[in-house]
Amino acid sequence: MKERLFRFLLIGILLLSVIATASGLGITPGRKIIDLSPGQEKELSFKIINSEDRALNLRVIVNGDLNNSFSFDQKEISINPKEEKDINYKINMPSELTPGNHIQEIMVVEVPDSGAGKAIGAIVGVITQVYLMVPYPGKYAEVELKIESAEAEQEVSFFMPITNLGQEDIKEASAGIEVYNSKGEKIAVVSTDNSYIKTGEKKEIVGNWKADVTPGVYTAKATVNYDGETINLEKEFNIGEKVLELVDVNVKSFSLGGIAKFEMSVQNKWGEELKNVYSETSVYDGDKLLIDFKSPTYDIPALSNNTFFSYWDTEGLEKGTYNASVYLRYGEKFSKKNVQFKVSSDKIETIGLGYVIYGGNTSSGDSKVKLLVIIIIVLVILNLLWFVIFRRKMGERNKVRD
Amino acid sequence: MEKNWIYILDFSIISATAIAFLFIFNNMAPMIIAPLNEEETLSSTVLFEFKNADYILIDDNLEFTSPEKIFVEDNILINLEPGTYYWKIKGITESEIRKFTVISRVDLRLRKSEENNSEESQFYEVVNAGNEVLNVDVYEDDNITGMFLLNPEESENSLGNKFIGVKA
Repeated sequence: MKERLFRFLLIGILLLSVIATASGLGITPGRKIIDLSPGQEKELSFKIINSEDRALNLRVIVNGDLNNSFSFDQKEISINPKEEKDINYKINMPSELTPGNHIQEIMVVEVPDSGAGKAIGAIVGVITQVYLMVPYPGKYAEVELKIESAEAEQEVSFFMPITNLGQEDIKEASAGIEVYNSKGEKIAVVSTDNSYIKTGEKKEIVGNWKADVTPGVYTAKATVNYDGETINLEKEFNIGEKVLELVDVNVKSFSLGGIAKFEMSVQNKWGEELKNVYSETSVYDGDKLLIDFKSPTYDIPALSNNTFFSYWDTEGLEKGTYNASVYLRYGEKFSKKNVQFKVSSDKIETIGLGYVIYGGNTSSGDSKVKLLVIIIIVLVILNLLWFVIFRRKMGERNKVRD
Repeated sequence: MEKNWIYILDFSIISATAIAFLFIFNNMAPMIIAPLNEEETLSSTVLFEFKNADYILIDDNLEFTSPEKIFVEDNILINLEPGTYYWKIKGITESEIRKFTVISRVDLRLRKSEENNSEESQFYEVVNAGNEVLNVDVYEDDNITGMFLLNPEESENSLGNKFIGVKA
């Protein structure tokens, strides 16, 4: 009986190991970028990763304009469970090639119904891409414009990574950036430093601008110059965030059980008008939502205040202090302020509209530096006292004695 | 006799100063531990190990023209896209600069889906187990029938019998 049970279990385990429920294949790197001139040769490799518990038979297939330039050690590969395998290949670049990027794809795909374990019914394949960059004659560069937005009064950085894709070095690359406001008025001009960029190399030039302007949307127009050539770039960026702030909440002529009329003063801190803004107030009794009431929609001009009206029917409400969240919604964004409403028989007071201003991030480095400076000063004083004063005095005393 | 005392005091002061400087150097100077210089990893989650830092600077260029500045005093795990990075820490002084690479990995997994299946059609759960955003081409008997994008660690149920993943 025990023997039959053991056989049954063994067959079950064997069956489970053969009937696969998953399949997986990895390849690394996902992409390789190579600078190659026509006629050059290069040996490269990629790695295949079998992440599954069954052996796989795989096939290598090359796709692209330069299929005949690629040769492989092996195109039919067997890989064991959990094994990683390096595959070597060689590229012989044709003698005549147009400049620019030539994309080749090397696909490694499972051979259907093969391997030690049964496939799951579908096959999986992965591709490693080879970007062959053939340099352009003379001087040629590609540039991007990246902008790190900031708050008002802070520094905005304009980054321009330049890739030299030409056959010649770029001796001087720099850029001038003009900043425009939403009315199209030029408000600032920024320039970057100069950079020398060797062929095939990528370097970043940077311009900084202190944004002493109101929050809003601005446009940067950059002109990148490299050895007499010019590239123009343009990008929008934000200063500050679209922020609405709940400044004040008032409830006038209130009696408990009646309808409370809320007057909420809302400030638009953004440099442009915000349309269709409304408030939504959620009032809680402990964790339980008591009521949710909204105001109509309002437009608030740039950098100004508006009063939002909303109503709360307090029938059946008891005196007490209630937690509430006031959401100021505009488009898909919102500002949230947590407050408390202290409800009495004839008034509702709002608690929590004061703001706590946190100090800046005082780094522990400052205190470390202070401590270090103190230790060094003490050591210097001790050494000076000893070697310049006490030791000399002792020497003189010894001389007198002698 | 007194001269000997002077020499002893000389020695004591110089030794104390040297010990104090060594102590300062060992306990306050920023020290980077990992990742090692020129290290290559397939994992997008990189553990930065260091001592005596106020912040860490990571950039894709050696000049640190547009660095990511992270205020952190202890070791930290950071998710990074595949690429080559340079990093250093700043404490009372600046540490050495190290370079490391997160190698891109295209990794596609298939599982038989338990949903939407019938006798005629089998759905598969396609999982992006690599660290790149993938374009997945779906084939039915060698004819391309669809395509979808998969972010790392994302999955999608799809009908087909061949799935090919390539970096998007």
